[in-house]
Amino acid sequence: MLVPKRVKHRKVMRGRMTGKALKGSTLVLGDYGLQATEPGWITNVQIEAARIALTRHIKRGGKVWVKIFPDKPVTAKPAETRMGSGKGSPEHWVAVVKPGRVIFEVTGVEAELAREAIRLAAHKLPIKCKFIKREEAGGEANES
Amino acid sequence: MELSLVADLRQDLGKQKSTKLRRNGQIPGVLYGEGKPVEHILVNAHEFNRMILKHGLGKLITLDFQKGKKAAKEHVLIKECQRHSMSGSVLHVDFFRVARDHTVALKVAVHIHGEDKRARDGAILEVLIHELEISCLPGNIPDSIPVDVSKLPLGAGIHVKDLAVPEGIKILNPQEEVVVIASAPTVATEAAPAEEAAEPEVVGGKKSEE
Repeated sequence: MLVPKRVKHRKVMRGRMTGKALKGSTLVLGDYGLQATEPGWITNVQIEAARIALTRHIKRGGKVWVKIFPDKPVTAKPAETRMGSGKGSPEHWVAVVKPGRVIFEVTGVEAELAREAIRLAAHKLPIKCKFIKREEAGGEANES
Repeated sequence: MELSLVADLRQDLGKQKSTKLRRNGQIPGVLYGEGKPVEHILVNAHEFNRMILKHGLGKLITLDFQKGKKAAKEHVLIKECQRHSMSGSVLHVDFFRVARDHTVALKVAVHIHGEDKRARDGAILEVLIHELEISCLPGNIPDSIPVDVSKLPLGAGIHVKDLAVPEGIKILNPQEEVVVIASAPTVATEAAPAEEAAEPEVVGGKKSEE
């Protein structure tokens, strides 16, 4: 399960999820990917479940990259506790995902197999996602 | 092959005007380079998208537009193409003027071939560099750089220095960089029983709890 090794603060504030993903919104390593279309918190358990669904469907061959990391602690108070007496204790870890963020990348498999594996993985996540694939490469000229 | 694109000069600048242009099927852009003044232009979105879908971004384009009362022609390359992070639609294009006798540096796609001729060893071809930066004259820009993987054994890779490029083209990437590697496939393994993750160490923090 993905958990940070060291953290600066045990508990952090919730924050806001406005706007779109500025970084990590394009395919870098793989040919196919899963892109978030809405914002959300994805827990380390959900990431692991999606990764297992993805790799199980691919079975053999192919390579999968997980492009998000759950580095935000989420706290919770124990059940049947009265309000007050401070913030709860860290319960789990989440990755903050904004629309456009690429969550998984896949390479080395047929397009149809990748599409189905990514569809199965997307069902393990709490947000709506879409399948993307690499488009044309080249461009970006400079004077030399 | 040289491509041509019709453009218009635009007077409407700014975020709101550009949004309106995009809604009307046009793409705002800018034209600069070669020490000439900057021109704000717009191109037809349908024509532009069709062109880049067919030929890619790294092609020499002749831009035709009306400057005042006379027609102007400029040889340009696409320097930057801004896309919407979700829909992938083109938001803005930077056109860069080039002189036909000056070398330019640009990124060209890598084309992997010979995959079907490889021995069936179950290797996965992992492309580490999808675009190579090359330097050449604008007239010599290739469609892609071919990389033959038919004789690539399992566990080996093809470096930039191993690539055969046509005369007049120089690859600017470091020579030792790996372009493609034939790696052993990963096998889906059963997940280990979930163990209770230890609490992470707090950097420079107090160990005591409330």
